[in-house]
Amino acid sequence: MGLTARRLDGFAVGTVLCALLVAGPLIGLPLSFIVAPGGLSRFSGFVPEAVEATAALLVGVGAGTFLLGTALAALVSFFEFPGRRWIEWALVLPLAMPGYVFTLFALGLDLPGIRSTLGAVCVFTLVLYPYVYLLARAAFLSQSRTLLEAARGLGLSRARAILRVGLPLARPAILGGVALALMEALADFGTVNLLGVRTFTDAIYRVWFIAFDREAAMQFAMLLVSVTLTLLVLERLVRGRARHAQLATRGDLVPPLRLRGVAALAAAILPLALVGLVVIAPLAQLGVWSLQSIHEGLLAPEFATAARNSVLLAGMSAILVPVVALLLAYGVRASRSRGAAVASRTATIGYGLPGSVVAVAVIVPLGWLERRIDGVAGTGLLLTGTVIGLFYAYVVRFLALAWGAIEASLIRIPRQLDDAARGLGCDRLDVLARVHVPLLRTGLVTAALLVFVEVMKELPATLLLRPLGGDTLAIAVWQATTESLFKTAALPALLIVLVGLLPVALMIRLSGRGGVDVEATPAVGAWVDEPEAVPA
Amino acid sequence: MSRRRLLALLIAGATLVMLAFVGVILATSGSSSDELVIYSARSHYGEEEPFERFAKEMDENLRIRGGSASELYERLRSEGKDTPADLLITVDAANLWRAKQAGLLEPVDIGDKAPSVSDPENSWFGLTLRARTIMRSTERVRPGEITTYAGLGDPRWKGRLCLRSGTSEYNVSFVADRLAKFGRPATERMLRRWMANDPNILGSDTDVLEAIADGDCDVGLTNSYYLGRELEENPDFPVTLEWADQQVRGTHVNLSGVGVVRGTDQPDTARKLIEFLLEPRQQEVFAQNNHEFPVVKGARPSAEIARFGNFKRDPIDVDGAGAHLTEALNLMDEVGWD
Amino acid sequence: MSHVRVRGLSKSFGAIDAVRELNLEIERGELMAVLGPSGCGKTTLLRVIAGFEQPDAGCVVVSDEVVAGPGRIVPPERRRVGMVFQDYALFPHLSVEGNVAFGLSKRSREERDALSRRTLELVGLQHKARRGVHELSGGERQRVALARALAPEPELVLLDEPFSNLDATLRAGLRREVELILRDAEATALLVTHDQEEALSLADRLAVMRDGEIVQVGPPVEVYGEPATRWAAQFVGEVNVLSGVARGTGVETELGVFDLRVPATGSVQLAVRPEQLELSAREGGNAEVVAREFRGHDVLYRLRHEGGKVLLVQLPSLRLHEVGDSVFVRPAPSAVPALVD
Repeated sequence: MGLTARRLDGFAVGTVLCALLVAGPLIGLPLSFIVAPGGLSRFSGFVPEAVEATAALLVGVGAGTFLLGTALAALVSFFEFPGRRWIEWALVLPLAMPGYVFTLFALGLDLPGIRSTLGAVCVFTLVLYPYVYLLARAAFLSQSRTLLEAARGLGLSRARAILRVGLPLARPAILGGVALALMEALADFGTVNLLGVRTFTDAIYRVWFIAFDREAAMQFAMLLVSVTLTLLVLERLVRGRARHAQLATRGDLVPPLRLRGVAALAAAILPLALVGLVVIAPLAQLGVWSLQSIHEGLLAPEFATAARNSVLLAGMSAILVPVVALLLAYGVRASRSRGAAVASRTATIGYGLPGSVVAVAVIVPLGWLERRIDGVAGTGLLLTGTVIGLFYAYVVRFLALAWGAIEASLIRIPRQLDDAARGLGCDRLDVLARVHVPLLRTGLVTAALLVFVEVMKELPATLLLRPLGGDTLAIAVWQATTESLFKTAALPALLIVLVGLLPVALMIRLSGRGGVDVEATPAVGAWVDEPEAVPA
Repeated sequence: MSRRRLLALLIAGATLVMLAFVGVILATSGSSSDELVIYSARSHYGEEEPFERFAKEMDENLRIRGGSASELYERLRSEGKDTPADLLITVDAANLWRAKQAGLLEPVDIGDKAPSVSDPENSWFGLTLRARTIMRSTERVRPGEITTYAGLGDPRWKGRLCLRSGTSEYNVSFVADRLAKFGRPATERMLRRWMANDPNILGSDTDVLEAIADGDCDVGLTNSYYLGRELEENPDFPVTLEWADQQVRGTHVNLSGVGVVRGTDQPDTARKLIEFLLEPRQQEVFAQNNHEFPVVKGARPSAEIARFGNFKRDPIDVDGAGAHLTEALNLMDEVGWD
Repeated sequence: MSHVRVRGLSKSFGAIDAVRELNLEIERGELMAVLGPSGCGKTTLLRVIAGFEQPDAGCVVVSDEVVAGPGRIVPPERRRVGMVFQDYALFPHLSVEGNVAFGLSKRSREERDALSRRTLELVGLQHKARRGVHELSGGERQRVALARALAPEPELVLLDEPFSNLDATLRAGLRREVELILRDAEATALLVTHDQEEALSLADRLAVMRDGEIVQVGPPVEVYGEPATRWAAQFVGEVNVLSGVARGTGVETELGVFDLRVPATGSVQLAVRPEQLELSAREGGNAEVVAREFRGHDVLYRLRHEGGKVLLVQLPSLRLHEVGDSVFVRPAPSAVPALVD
């Protein structure tokens, strides 16, 4: 609800343009079919394998993260046991662990059969379940207890009530988390490469890095995009027309059931063991190696510069990407145009693509543009030779994350608040300043934190687009591991994880329990929700 | 938050971000034109002495951008004539071939300093050579038990063969080279027999060597310099090499090479660096430090490698291998070499 | 001149005509109610007046200023029209005080403090000024919403079904309170609702709306007592529609003779309210009690007349008839039903 205008709304046009700017480079992907057709047939043998491996990954990781994430979320939301408050927090930590670092650690343990699709599924499940966990937990915590009590009144035990009422109500959030986890798995390269699983991303790497066939690589990337889109459509269908669950007012949350005896012990120990395996053990190993590397003087050259660059890039992206997402989300909301909404969703698709594909898609138009500008103004490599190109790639790649967090907050601001404010004399800017910004704060901060962590970990796009002297910690890790210099890789890898832990911890603090906070919890990845009219 | 406060915050924030942005750009971008910029796929090996020496002795500023070959290649393609790069160094012949095909290199005349392993049109020059050959356990495999590449497909090695991943550019170049020289049917036959031995596929050459040392397998295929590194660290390392195919064409030898990037603003310094790196004493540093083979006479390989003696070399057919890369990838995928 | 004038207002959404050439006038200080069933367009009317929708045709004039009309649209923030939303739309990040003072940002500090304090006292929530809105009960929230709308002293206050979210038991009392608050503030108010009891009891004047058009406007007594159309008669209150033959000031029906307010002749249709009939227990009466709804202060009987018709009769609850009783139904003394078409 706002002023409905017949003419094409300025907001709508602006939003669509902005979205096109972000999604635009990805046009290069389908274009490659026209520019250099036949790429897929040159490597036709890769396709069936890639389909099979990708399907196995999707099913396995989907099921794995769903079960693990939901079970853990239900455990900490509905039950009380010793150490729950710490465990609740600790279970999010794997978010800071990049898949490729954990895989290195797992390979070092030399577990039999890890170099297989099953191994990859296990690694992904362990590292990606926090997405489902976070969302499911937020959903569970905001459910009104009257719903569960109604179920109990109809004869269901507590466990069954959770299963048949709590779970389905949380379904949209859970599915959103699973979708995010699957997109991460699809886009990942390091893990599947180390474990020898032939996904599309791996095919893209081989075709491009080894055979230098960039056009064929882009065509494979198009296939990957179709898989991602199918995934999103399926997710929407399965989720159905979700109505927002009855949000609880303060004091109305489900009171947790206190566990005793063996159950309490198991509830405390198993999650801790999980976190120990996924976070503590690798950290310890990295720590040992780091100390050794310092002792033996095997530090990567220019380590300090790399560290500085990582923090700088991550910090600035943490500002830039959420701002872009905010502009888009706000534009969609203000214009109420379906075209703008669709365009904005399209702009987030970069998240499902491997960083290398995004980088290549970005470098081509940027290179063209900077040559034009150079021709006129003599500025040289203004875009690809500086961090501008890199930031652009980060926006394309990570917009989905910021969008999800911000949209989830924005959606909880019913348009009626806008109307109420306008009826009280606020113009659009006032509404933004006095109503939206205060209510969006949590969403914005979460978006910034998520982007920070991701940029710290990012490798393939940074590899291609970084300017001279712009090496990061992730690149230092990669350069060392390609020559099996694990000790050299250890310290930068350790730093990446440690620095990533801080925002993760902050994020958990923000989505804490209790009253107002719960209602304002931004659901990570609620971007898969379509902005629906909030029921009056 | 009042409207005024918000506006003030936005403007202040935007200004700060702009400043930081500009600062970051300045800090991390570009090179001054008096630097010699090298795009090098060799940078994983740490600060290499020959480059440092050049910088010191010639009083030049060097800036090395590391990365994978394809990443560097993409950058060069994208940067075009504005590229800050002056030199391109690769660790595989196919990369050089590719760069030349794409018109990224320009010829440079270094006269008789050019090693035999060079582009006939002087677009690139070999810097070092590395052999990809058979590695075997000293404890469980007798000398002479395996002497040919094809021999790795002998059924006696079933379950005892270790290979590096099929995505390794070294393996792909190896297969591409064989395709160019022996043709498809023969190469396919050999690979299928290799795969029939149910090989252990590992992530790196070092992993292969360690697997052999640990007893997880008995034979494998790696680059020679990795063995050199292991032996340098542990003289008792229980793995040794066999120069493969000595009765046939010889052992597959690939190269790490250098070319001058088209559009360089420092052609003279670039040429000087190439000539410098090809001097016997620098060549010897490469050989000693990284256990590779020099390309010029007068430089001795490292002790660890020298002990294996001379061997018949079958240098990679750069043009041929380059042209067969796609086919090699497809073939490896077909036979199931992960 | 009326304080608020709506002329020829039309608004469509796609194929649906929500409001059709609607005319309405509200006097200064008046509490006008628009009563209509769901979907009749009353909320749209409200939103057009507030400025959240733009009319396709017609104009809206508030205090002699055209706020919506051909070629001129004043945005909502400049209309000086306050609105109380159905679910209150209170700002969750502000306290009660913060909410009430929200629309006063352009005034001086003293004025703002004075106004918000006064308005809070008006609604009786000055002791909760610092609380967060989530700490309040439903009725308190409604009062905050009202205070917030009233604080900037608007020309017109719009209320969108303000009582629909409240407990039925509280409603009557809250209605009284809201009415008092509005009168104390000397506000001009337009309230839309589908609840006739609400409209009848609160409004100075009542407009009945159907399918985008106003069917009848007038004081509640008039609208109830003299419905303009058969539909209006049926919508506002319960009614029995009887056929009769009018002869001058009386009309004969199968139940008996009724007086007419305006003389008429010929066949007519009468809107007879349930309280305009009376019963007596009688064996062999002309109707049977089919259902009985005890409402505390009165009783509504549903009868089946021997002629087949179902009749509604409302009586004080002093004496109760049982279901199945045979009764005699006839016009109540001095009942004056209205003529409808």
